[in-house]
Amino acid sequence: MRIKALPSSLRTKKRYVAFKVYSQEPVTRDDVVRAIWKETLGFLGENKASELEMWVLDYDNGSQQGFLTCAHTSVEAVKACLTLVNSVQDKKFMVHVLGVSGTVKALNRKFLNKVKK
Amino acid sequence: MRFIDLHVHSNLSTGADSPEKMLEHAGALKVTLGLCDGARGDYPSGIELSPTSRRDLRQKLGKKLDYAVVCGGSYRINRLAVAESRVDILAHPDLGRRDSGVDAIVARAAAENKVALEVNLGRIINTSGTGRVYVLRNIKKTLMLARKYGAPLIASTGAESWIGLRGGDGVYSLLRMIGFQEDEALDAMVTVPAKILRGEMK
Repeated sequence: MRIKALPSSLRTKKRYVAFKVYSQEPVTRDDVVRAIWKETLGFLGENKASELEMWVLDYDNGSQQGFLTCAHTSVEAVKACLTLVNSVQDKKFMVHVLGVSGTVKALNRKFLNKVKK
Repeated sequence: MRFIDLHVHSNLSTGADSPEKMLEHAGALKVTLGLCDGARGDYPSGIELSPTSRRDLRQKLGKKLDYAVVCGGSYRINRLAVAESRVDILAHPDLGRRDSGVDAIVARAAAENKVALEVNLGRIINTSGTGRVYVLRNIKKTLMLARKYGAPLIASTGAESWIGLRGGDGVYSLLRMIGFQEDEALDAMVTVPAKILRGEMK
């Protein structure tokens, strides 16, 4: 038996944050996720980080672009944490926030140049 | 909102990358860059000074560039810098210190002489653990004094390579998380640096 989904009125409102990684050498999804969580836990602490509802949903190794989801109340905190990222395992890189959107469709259209017909 | 970052070094001074490379990446991040290498270029050009005395500072200020930055850290140098109206920015006043290097006297003089106190975000980005805690504490103390005495604040990355640059959106969010109000963050990122480049802070 599966857990029953929350009614829509009780679900957390989400936002999607598009980002692009600039680096001197190729950076994988694992590197990006590890670096983002390291900075988030370091800057905000475990208690605040638990309120972000942050999850990296997509990352393309080729274009080094991706997006993550978070609660709509924590967009500023997530963007601040992305700004703090500067390295993981001796790989120097930075994360540039491309934009924030309420839906994946709009995010792809506005910031990631992925238009589905 | 286009972030103006005035404390950046290229390989003409202490940086690692060429001015062209820095400007190219700044363009991708939609950031206006000022390079304080002490050399004139076709971009906002400044000079970073490390004076030893008042006389030394006045002599070094003779070089005509768009803006002048004094490398702070020593309390004596911080006091000298904010007492001179030809200085535009007092950079990292807390460098090498446990305290913020800014007290009521420094903040009042900075307000009177329109010397912007720098909030160096590179020092937050490049530290971790207790080191970052001290940097954040010092920035918050500087912010509190700047509010009380009306001293201008300026945000910059202090980048020495293109990987140290940051986009305006992220810098704004970081300042808001530290405790800046909306208008304070925008002033530090855009208004104050723009005034410095227009020569309105003299």
